[in-house]
Amino acid sequence: MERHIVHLDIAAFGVAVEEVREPRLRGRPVVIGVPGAPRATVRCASLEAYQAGIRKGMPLVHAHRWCRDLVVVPPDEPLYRTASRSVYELLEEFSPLVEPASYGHLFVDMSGTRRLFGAPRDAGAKMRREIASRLSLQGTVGIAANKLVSRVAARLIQPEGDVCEVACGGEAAFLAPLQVRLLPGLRQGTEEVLVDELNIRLVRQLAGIPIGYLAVVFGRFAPVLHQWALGIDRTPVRPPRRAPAIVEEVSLAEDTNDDRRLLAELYVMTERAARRLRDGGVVARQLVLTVRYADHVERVQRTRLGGRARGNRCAPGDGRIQGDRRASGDVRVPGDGRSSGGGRARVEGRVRLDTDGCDETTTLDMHLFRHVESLFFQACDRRQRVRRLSIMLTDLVAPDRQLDLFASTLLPSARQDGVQRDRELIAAIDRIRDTYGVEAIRRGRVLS
Amino acid sequence: MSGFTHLHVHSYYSMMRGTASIEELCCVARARGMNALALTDTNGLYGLLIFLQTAKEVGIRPIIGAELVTDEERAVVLAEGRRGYETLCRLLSHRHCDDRFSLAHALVHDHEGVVVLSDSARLLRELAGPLLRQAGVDGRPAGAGQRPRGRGHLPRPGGSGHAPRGAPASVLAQKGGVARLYAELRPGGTAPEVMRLARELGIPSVATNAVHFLDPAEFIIHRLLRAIDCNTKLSRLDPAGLAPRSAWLKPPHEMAKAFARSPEALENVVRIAAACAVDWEFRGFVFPDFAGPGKDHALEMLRARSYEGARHRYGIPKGEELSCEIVERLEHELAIIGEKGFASYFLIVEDIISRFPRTCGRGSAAASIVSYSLGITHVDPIEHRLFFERFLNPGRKDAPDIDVDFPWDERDEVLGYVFEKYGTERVAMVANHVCLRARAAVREIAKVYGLPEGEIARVTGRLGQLWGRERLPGLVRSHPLFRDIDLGPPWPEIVELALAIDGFPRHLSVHCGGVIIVPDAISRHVPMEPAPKGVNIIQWEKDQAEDSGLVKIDLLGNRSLAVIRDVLAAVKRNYGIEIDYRTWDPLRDPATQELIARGDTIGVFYVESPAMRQLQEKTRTGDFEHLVIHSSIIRPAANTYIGEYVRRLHGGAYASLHPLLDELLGETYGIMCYQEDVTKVAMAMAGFDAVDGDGLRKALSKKRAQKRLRDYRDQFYEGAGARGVAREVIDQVWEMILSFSGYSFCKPHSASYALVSFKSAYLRAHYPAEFMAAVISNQGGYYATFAYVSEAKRMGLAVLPPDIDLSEEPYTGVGRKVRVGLMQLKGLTSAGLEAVLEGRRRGGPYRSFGEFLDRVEIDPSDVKVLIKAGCFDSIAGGRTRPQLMWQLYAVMGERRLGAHLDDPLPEVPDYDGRTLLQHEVEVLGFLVSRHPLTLFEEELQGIPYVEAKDLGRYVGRRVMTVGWWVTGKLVTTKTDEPMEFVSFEDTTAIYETTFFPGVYRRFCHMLSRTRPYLLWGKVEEHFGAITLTVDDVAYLDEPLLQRWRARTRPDRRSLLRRLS
Repeated sequence: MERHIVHLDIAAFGVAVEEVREPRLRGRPVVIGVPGAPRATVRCASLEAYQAGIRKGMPLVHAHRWCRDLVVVPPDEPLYRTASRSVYELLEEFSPLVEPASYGHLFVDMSGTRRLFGAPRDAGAKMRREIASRLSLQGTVGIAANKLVSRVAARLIQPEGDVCEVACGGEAAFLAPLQVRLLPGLRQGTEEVLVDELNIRLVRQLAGIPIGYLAVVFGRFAPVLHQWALGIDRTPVRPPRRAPAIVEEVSLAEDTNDDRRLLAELYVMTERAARRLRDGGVVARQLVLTVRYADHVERVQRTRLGGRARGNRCAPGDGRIQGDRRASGDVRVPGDGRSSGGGRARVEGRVRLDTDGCDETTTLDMHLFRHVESLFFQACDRRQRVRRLSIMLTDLVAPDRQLDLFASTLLPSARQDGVQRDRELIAAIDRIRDTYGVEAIRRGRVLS
Repeated sequence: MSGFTHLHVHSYYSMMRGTASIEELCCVARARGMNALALTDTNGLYGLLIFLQTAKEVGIRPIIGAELVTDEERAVVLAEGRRGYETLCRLLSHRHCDDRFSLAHALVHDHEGVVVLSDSARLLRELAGPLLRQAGVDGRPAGAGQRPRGRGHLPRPGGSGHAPRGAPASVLAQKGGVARLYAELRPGGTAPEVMRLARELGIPSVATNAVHFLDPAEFIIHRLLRAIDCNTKLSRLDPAGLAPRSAWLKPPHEMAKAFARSPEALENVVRIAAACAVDWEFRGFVFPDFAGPGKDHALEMLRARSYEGARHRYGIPKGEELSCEIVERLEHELAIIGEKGFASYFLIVEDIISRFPRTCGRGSAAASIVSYSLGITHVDPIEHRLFFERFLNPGRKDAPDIDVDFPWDERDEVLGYVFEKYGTERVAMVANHVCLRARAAVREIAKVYGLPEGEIARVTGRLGQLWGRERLPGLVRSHPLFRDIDLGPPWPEIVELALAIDGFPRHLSVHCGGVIIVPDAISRHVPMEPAPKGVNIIQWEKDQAEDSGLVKIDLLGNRSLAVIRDVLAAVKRNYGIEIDYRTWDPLRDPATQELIARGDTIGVFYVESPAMRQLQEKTRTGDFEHLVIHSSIIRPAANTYIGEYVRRLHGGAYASLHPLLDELLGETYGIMCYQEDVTKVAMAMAGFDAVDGDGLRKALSKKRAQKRLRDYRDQFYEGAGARGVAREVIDQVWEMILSFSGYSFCKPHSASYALVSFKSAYLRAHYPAEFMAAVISNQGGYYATFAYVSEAKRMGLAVLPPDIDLSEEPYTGVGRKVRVGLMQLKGLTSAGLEAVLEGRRRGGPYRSFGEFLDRVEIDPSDVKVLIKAGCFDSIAGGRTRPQLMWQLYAVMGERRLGAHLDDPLPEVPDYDGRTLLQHEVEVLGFLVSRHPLTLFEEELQGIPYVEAKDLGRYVGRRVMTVGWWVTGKLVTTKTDEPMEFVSFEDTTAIYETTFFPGVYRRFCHMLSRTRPYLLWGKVEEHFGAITLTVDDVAYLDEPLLQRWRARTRPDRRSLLRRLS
């Protein structure tokens, strides 16, 4: 079947969104970046900034030298996430197969929708109009038989074009005279070797290189590169998967690096999250803690709650993280476009009934908090002040009630009693709060 | 002695722990009624000499000690006398130099003359037997501890009969003796347990307060220091690593109250204090005998060598007599040297320098005919009227100081020789005490507080200039510099804390050249520790080392000596001309003199800076005597005198300030120029004696000596007044004296350096290609490499690109050509570079690229660098550079896979012009093939700019020039406003510009070294030196220009944009 892939390209997405929020920015050289941060780079540059010589990835300090009246806007990740989601939802009206590749880049598989929306070209134009009228965002549309060519087509007609359609079968001819660096997915290292060292500047030249020579340079990537040069790309449009999650997020009133205050804040968040678990009757198997520092660096730590295999379960009170702990740390600078839309403050999606390796005690504040605290000390290993904390519970399952029968054989009875006491305590607190409000009863540690 | 004495006290030399300076500790202890005080810094005697001197001034008896701390144990070790001091130094040296150091083990074997106080249970158990039993020999009943000595027989804890029982302490007390070991009781904490253990083991106890601060309030600072040191934040500090809040310098009555229940511990304090508070004196010089024992022996040896050397220096053949003048001078100097016992010092220095052919003795030692004869210095002190008394005179109490420069790349070898000859036990380098300074303190505290880097940088960036002038915590709130920053909390707090820790020592580093040699072992005199660089350093910086009598030799690295060496070698290689460094005399060479007179001296030692070249241009003198004056007068604080000097030099009339000065300063036109002029003037005008005169000179060069300087001022005014000198004359002379603050040079030093300048100027005049090649190769000159390359081109030399067969590692010059060396290739690994040269040494030149790949085992990334640099162009055989890249990949791939590619090499055209330039910048760091300004010829069309070489024709007019940034010098005006002198170049010449404060403020953010500029300003001339006083600046590559020009061009790009 003939495929029709539409690519919607909203250039400098971050800046475009900021311009919607603040129309005065329009027509001015604007970049997104963290002003004042060390080694901060340009994350996104408006057309005007681009024309002044500013490029993505350039240090902000240099950018200021190129352009004296440059406007630097600090990144607002949640805003871009929301905007991206709106675009996505709008395009979902056209086809169930929509893939947000990154901010401002979406693929829509329009194969077989001719009866609904007419010719792909008309559908693409409609998408563009809808995005412009409903979201005030300007994009270009590329249409071709695959993702590769549609993306190049959309890119090629920027900034002022509207729709560019490449006829089926004309892909190779379309690409041939173009610059190699227009090929999306070409990693920077590959591009440098290809263009700067080997002097292959046009797709046509690339197509002419014997595959054996490509192989000595690029190894296993060579056949793919060769196909790209000929305009061949068979990857499908993949809609994102959405997983249910519970998220608690707090922006601190004042940045601080005082552990006591941070842990107090986390305890309150843990209370809320655990309550939501209990109310939803679910157990989480993964905990993710995100610490965002005052210098906008983000550190993420995650751990599994409860062991994988049943026999492997540890008692909750031994202070360790249980089972196959997969705590891993990575520093993530926000706004790199790779983070997919985070969870909302509600449980969405379908909860699985698989109860393998879940630990029900983690629905109790104090037990869950042990994990949170442990992750905190891993994630918060810098001196930098913290600006925002978030905990996310994912991999939610509805526990099998029968498990309780075996629990007594798995846990020493004294500990079992302890858990039982905690459970009753929490139940009592819940009742008090239901009646008199959350503030009615508090842990001493959260009071400053 | 009565009352309480603190036996365990930390100053801020317990680095990043203690919060009090030694001065504060001594004064406060005195004020709180104590008459003795111990200083026991952590693992060191870092402030010992300062302590002894301050204690003396304050009137407190000093006790020397240190707290030795390892991971497991800690003990305060106090020295009872000289022997105890040596033991202490030894222990500390071992603590730092021995990775497996165990305090207990060390103390068991080495405790002569020391008193050990400890609260470590383990240590007390292990030491109780060996240390107390020994004390028992003279004080305790026999039979208390008759066990064999040595390892493995240490007493075991708890075993009955092992630990000495009874009451040794009381026995000792009756005898009035002091035990070797005490259990240290600190209030609170572990005191009860220690007390129990002490009773069990029969160890006497002693009360201390482990003082870390003056007052309880300083606990905050202590925590802060710990947090900075441990790289953590306050809320995550380990409490075990902190001193308790109570560890302040408590007055005796408080201590008595705290230890009311242990009177014995208080009594022992008094006893120990009485035993350890001896009069410490560090007298005399510590220096080895070069010629064996007996100072006459060394002197005779020195005399013989000096005479022999003098014959050689003055060209007197054997059998003929040295002239009277020379003999007199030699005998005069030898008499003083002999009297002071410095003969060995000279012999040792001579021994070192005689092993290295090219050196430059500098500093005041150049005033000595002995050092001239020995070859340590190279300026004839008789001919150039250098006075020996500047170096050594009978009145001077401090040690002489011989500084010798070596080619920078030979210095490690020199140090290696010294260490080898005298042994690592006897040689160590002087330390620098690296202190927290304003900016660093603010930065570190802000980091503990967790503030973002950007915010910190914004504040510290501005703080630098203000600090020290007004030490006001409110500074940041009121000063206009901080107008536009939001400095809410916690900034005021941070600034206040930073003031509190400003100047705290932080760690040691290696002094750049100071070497100490002792006759026996360094660790007898001062603790030493290994520096990260691998050499051992002593715990004192140069002032304390000098005060303690350790004599330092400065062995310093100098780039220009290496330049001279390399040029001489190249000249011999290229033309077969041999110049003997030791006898070579370029002073009368006309070409050299002309060059110096023109200020055409980029690359020439010491006279290449824009300021110096301008001075040369203005004076138009090229003789040695004037160059000596110039290299001395060009010091930071002497700006006004430089102008006056030039005026007078050109015959400007001047009224004499005072007849006395005319006499003294005749050769420098009545202007004080050399350091020793200060001494001379103070002696002649204000009746200073030689010692005070010298003291004034020293006070000027030290920041710490502000008080002393004020005293000297009073003395000067009084003395001069008494001699009838008018008040306004005294004012003027004193102001001139103050212009010597900071650094200044003595005439012998300037003469030594001027000689090196002459030698390098000679080489520049006669062998320009070799010279420029060597200047670039040795790096570290005043200018960046690119500026030297430009200069070479202006000199008419051809700068040739690197070549695989023709380039050496350094730049090479022959005739009128300079070839870029492989060292310039950024990204070429040293292994790759070596492989290329090695392959060439073995098999001769490479004939083709394929052959190169076959012959040389080299990383492909290195080959890529070589290709991009165009190294293979001469042997490519018609292939383009991209084709060579393909060939490289193909060959590597074939080797890896063991397969063969059948297809022919892809036909790829050569890189376009822009890529070629881009590669050039990438691998060389700058453009060699053309000047970057030539890329903007299009933009410059129709612009009425003046070429730099023609600026002299526009004096007094406002012109526009084109400029590429070369170098800049930021200075502050008298009113503390920043301004900058910037050197720019265009394709015709280099030229100097001035950005006065107003203009500087407007344009400073625009100045960078990667963009072309248009400059507007007025051309000014001063005694022939041309400068441009800038009033407007624009980027040559910016759209702004479009507005200015009638024609518009859509794509105006800079070099970088052009290339990226």
